[in-house]
Order: sequence, then C-alpha cells, then structure tokens
Amino acid sequence: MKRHLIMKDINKIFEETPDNKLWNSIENKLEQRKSAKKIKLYRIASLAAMFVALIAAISYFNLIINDHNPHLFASNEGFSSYVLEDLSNDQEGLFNMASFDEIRKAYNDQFGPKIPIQMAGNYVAQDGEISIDIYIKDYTYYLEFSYAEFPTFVLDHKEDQTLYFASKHYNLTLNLEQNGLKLIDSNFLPEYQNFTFNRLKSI
Amino acid sequence: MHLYKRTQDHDNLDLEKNIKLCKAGNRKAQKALYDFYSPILFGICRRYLKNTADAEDVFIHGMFKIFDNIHKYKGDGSFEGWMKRIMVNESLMHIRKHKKLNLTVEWSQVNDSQDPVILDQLAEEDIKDIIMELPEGYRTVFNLYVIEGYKHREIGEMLGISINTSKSQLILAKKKMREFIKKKDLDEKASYNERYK
Repeated sequence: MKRHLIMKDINKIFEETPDNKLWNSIENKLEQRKSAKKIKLYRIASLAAMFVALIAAISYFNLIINDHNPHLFASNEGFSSYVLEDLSNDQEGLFNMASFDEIRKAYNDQFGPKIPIQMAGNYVAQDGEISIDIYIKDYTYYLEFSYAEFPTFVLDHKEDQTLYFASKHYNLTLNLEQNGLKLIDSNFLPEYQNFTFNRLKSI
Repeated sequence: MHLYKRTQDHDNLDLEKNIKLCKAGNRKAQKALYDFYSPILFGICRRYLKNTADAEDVFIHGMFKIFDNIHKYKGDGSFEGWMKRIMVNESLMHIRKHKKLNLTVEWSQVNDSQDPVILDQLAEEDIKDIIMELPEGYRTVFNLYVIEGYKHREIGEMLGISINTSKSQLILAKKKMREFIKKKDLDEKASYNERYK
C-alpha cells in the first residue's frame, strides 16, 4: 500500500544516517582547528612578549644614550689618600710614646677646632654684673656664667664671626668683636641683648 | 553520554545545555548533537548533490562550520533551522564552485501547463527518485523553492541568476516530474497488463 505524503515530509524521505567515518573526519578537523587556535594564541602571546621586551630594550637604551647629565656621576673631589705614620719603637723595642704624642699633637694642630684658640678666656658684661668663661675641652668650646645655677652652653656651630651656643633649653648667639663678644640674641638673657662682654686681660 | 535521545518530541531535548557545551568545545556534546541531527542534515546534502562523495564532502564541511560557528548562534529562531541553512548554503557553494548549474533557459522560452505535480500520491521512494532524477539546475531550484520555501528573488540572489531563470527552472522541473510520473504510470499499467494477460 502506498503511503501518502505531504510536501513538508520530503525532508524526512531524504533523511539518511551518514557513514561513521564522516564523524571521524569532522572530529579530525575540529582537533586541527583546536590546535591551530592554540598555536595562534601562543603566537599572539609570544608576539606581545616580544613587543614588550622590545619596548623595554628601546626605553633602556634610550635612557643610556640620552642621559648625559654630568651631575648624575658623583665625584669626591675632596678625597685624599691615606697617609700611614710610622710609629717607631724605642731602644728597648717597646712602643715609643714620645713619638706617638708628637704625631697626635701635630694632628690636633692640623685637624682641631677651626675656631681661633684665642677665643677662650674670661669676659665681663659692660654693666659689670655678670661674667662668662669660655674654655675648650675635648676640642669643643663651652660657655659658663659666673653663677653656678646658670646652664653651661656648648658651641653648636660658627658662621663667620658669629658663634652659636646652645644648652638643653636655651640658645645664645655671640658675635666676635674687637675687644670681646657681643650678645646679639638669646632666650636666656634677653635683657642683655646687644651687651658687650669685654675680655679680661690676664695680669 | 546521552544528552538526549532522538524522539519526535523536541521539547524533551536538553538542547540548550548541549549548545552551551558545544560552544565550550565539549567533544561529547558535539557528538551527541551530531548523532541527533546528522540524518536530517546529511539528507539535505543528499537532496542537493546526487553524488554521494560530494554529499559527504559538503556534509563534513557543513558540520565543521556548524561547530566552529556555534558561538554565533544567539538563540534567535530555531537551532535546527540555523543548521539547515548552513547545510543548504554549503551545498549551493559546492554546486556553484563546481559549475554544475546550467541555468540558461529564460522564462519566455517556457510554457507552464499550470497542472499541479501531485507528489503526495506517490510513494516515498518514487518521490526520492523523481527529485534525484532531475538535472542539477532544476533540482536545485526545486529544492530551494518548494522544500526550503525561498522566493524566486532570493533564489536568484543565491545562485546568481535572474528571477525569470529561477521561475523557468522550476517550471521545467515540474514538467520533468510530470513526465516521470506519466512514464511510471504507463510502466505500471504495462506491467499489470503483462501480469494479468
């Protein structure tokens, strides 16, 4: 008996299961595509890495080539070579202390404080009320007032003729004058500002 | 892995899940999809291409294209329809590439008898034979117009021919089919007479 059909069923008439080998071919093609995609990905990644490396190299060489700023090269013009002193032994083969003292004295004279040694001494204020004593100890100048309860000042630094003394809480700025020292600034003795401390000559 | 079984009821298929897996390149999902749709899709290739080797070639290319471009399917419209379109296009590309179409007859040269071709009174095998016996050009236009449902204007664009050429090819295809049916009827009558003489 003939089976009757309508037009839309024509697709069904043609339905046919393909040979199994066709799936293998499709699978092979898909595998190849997968590998090709991976290779493409690796290629892009390697190209990107190469590009980054190239940019880095160009930047580095550009920095080297263009950077001729002489200030970038540090130099120590004040460098001087070391000099080793010979320490001689005495007749008994022992360390010669006399020789060592000579060398130490020479170095003290050469590399000791740059402030004139003549600054040390006794000074009295122009009103005659207070006096100060400046002395040197361990290469450092100290300033003491005639009153025991007053603080002792230490020379902090010197600029030209101006001496900056400081204690724990106070400061004292003195100017070297012809005959002594002039107090130009202090939070310790503000009323003595611009007072001259005349140097007492030793008798 | 059985994502779904071939049934008449498409609602039972976990097609959405399968498509998602196929998009991720899951081989088992691809195989499941292949197993389910390959008879329909291979049938399309067979309908357009008489030569089995050609049909297989086109089918392989078409399936590969489906899996390779499945990410482009956004869920608008039928998935089966999307795959079928790919297969039809692949078949047409193959036909055009191998210049199998000889579509030179124009509309003016053809007389349409207007008699309908009554395919629904034929057996499955006869319908298949009739269509496959048609020359390449007639069969292609017949497939596109009658089975795929394209308009003559669309067929003209697809095959690079004029609308009139498409129409004339269809008329000639029908004519050829009528001849085939007539011949078949005569053969059957002769056979009957021979048997009961």
